Amino acid sequence: MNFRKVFLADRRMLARDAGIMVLPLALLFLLGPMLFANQGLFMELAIYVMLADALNIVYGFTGYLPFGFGVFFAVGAYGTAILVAFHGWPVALAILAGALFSALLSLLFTPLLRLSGAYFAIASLAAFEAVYLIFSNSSLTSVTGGPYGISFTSVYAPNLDYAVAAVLAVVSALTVLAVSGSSFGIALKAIREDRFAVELAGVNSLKYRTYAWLISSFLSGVAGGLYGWYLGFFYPEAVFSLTDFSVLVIVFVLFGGRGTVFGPLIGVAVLFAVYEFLTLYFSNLVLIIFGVLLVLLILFIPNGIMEQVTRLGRLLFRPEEGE
Amino acid sequence: MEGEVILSLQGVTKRFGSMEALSRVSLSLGRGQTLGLIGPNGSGKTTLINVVSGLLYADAGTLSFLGRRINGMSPHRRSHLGINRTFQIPHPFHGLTVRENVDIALLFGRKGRRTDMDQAAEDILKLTGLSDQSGQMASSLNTGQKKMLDLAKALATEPKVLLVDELAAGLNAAETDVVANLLNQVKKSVEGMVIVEHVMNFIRKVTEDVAVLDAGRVIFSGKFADAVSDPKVMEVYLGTKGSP
Amino acid sequence: MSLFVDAFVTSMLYAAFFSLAALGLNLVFGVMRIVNLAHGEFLVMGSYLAIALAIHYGFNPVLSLAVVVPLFFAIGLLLYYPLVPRLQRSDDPEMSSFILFFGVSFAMEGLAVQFFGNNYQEMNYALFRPLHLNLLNSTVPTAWVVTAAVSVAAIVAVYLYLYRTGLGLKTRALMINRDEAMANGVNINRVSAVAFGFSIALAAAAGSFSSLISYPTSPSIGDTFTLISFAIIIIGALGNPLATVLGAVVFAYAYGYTDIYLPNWSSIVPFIILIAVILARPQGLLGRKAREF
Repeated sequence: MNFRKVFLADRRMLARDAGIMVLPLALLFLLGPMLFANQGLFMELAIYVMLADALNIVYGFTGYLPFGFGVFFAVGAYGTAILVAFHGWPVALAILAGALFSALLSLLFTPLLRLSGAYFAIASLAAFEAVYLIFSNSSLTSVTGGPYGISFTSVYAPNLDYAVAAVLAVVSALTVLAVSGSSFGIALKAIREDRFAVELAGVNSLKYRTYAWLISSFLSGVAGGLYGWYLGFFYPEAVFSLTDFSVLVIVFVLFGGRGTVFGPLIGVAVLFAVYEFLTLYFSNLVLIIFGVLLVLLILFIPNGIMEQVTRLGRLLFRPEEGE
Repeated sequence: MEGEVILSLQGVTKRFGSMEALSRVSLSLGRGQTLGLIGPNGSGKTTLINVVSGLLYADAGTLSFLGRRINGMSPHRRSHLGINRTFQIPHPFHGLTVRENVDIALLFGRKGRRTDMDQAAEDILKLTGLSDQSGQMASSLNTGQKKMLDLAKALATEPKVLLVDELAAGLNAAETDVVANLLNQVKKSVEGMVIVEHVMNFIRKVTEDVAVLDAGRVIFSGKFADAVSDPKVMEVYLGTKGSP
Repeated sequence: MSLFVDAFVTSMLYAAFFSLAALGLNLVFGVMRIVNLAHGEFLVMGSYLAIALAIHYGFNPVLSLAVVVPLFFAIGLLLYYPLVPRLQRSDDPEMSSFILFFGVSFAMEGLAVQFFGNNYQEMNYALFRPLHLNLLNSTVPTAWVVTAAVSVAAIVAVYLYLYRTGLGLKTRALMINRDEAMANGVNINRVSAVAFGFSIALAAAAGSFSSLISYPTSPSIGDTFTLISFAIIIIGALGNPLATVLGAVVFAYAYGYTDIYLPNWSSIVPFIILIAVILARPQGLLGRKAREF
């Protein structure tokens, strides 16, 4: 197979970036729980890494922001829970099926991809609400557990779920790296830059947007399934939380730098820590502080801190290339 | 002198609300032909290019390319078939490098992938004078360079018919000559070309075949020398900006 | 049969109220191409103020408007200048505003929790005597009739502003073509700031009555109002304030009837209609191109 046909980026650069990416993540996931004696925190970190990567593929690369994208996370969690609790599936298979269910749902929503900008964002928000109202509906209690939640503690395995989540978080980060360096990734970025000109360059933009959308929803679904497994029991609101699994993720990705490979990871690492700290000590102020942070982000560093970091690095180490 | 017709428009109409930007336009482009498309501002020249390249769909009429009806075809399919264009206001992918801009068109512009990508990219950048800017972000180019990048992207898809929208607008005399020479060179690698331009001298450096559009209608089609003496063309131009 | 008639009458009153609730959002989008995702939070804040005025001073919500409207108009003006002009200089104002105002709504929800707690609050129905009125052979709460009447009055006022005043003319010019309006010497910031102020004031005015006719007031109900308002203005015509009424009528009747015949599913209705409209006829109903190849 010809490397150049699939990847545009240089092979050695890709390997280097993969190393830079995997090492700190692996260390964090291995040593973190020992140092902080709170494995749940790192479980959630792994979940957020996956979600940020999933959002980055669709928002960062193609420029389409599905505001209600947490719906795929929630459906993944529900798919897993329903299959285990009501149909006795083994958990690994249930997570896979849950993620496929998310991807299927995203296929159902593909007509939304024909919309642009705010229309797309609003329509995806409406889709989120509609799916939430279906899953939490008391008429469907026998199918989904309805508003009373769903329990599948029989497969509870607090160490195994963490190990799987940590590995998959690393895999998802590598997936983003591979996409970014591939010809598929560059087509996605070109879609973001100019939706008209990209067609003239021969790119079927609807097809590629759909692929990105599918990958993103599948990855979100996996994250949701793992999160459900970790919780063991949850109410609809716990997984259908627009704040926790859409907005926070958007903030993480924006803060780090959308469309970059490392930005979303840095965004998750930094802001998730801040978020947990605030929740612990100033739980009343979390909403206010994050709201203000979001406003300041958009006003002052709309392209995220990765851009600032790169610029700073260039100025420090290679001043002749700086601005 | 021209061979068979490769691109033809028959009765093509495009409306924006109640205004007809193109009304029943019929034109054809022969193999090996370069057609200059002239006419006052708002006469529908750019709309025509948009309709042929697929950014707009015609409301009525037939567009055919190499014997195939292309009316409802999406722009990327037309690009694969061999129709490409440049924009009056250039459309580069700003956040990508110049080389990446060209790479995308090379990778996706035609079915089946090529093995000599690097060479092809270098050739095109050299032709369009962008070799030195290869690694720069497209956003850092000046307007003239962005127009050249537009042309480079279009050429990278190996078009059979190239539509060029006001490439020389805003350039000085010396630069205009360079662009005219470039288009004369490009002419050899494509099977047909349509050039929209305001500057008459520029068009004459590339071709003698012209079509004149006014208010969405073709009022003249033939040799430049005959256009100058055509009463309808004279009327349009005397009314707006003197003789062409 | 009488159930059917009751639903008809109450839906009509809902339609008036929801027109008012959504009107300001559409005005802002039409004039500034900005998506105010905190719209519902401003409505909720107006609601808290009106309830407080009723509890502490016995103000009837109609009377509170004299306080609520000028105050929120001023808040709108104060928020406009630091946020909107800067947003409009960004690469993609529409999306940037979407995220920025989500931040604003977040912060406002947090503030509401701080000040008013997480409990539900409601305006006292008994402020209106008699408690019920007979309307088209249907008995409805007086509070609902008053709410609808105030809503209609506010919509007429917006109409008069847009079509009978100099500033309104400039506002319409800006809605039709920004560049052209600017070229003709329209002071964009002044016109937009006033429109933004009106938008916030309209939301707060709707909020003064919201707990009477729709949901009880709580910090988290703002999102619901924002989403419903969006559904309404998209069904009507995005960027055309007066088409909001059409959207509200469609929404209110769909909601009103499902609420009676399929109560478990009524809250999904606005979202289903929104998605259906967006997908089926984005261009026809929205008044501008929303679909691409």
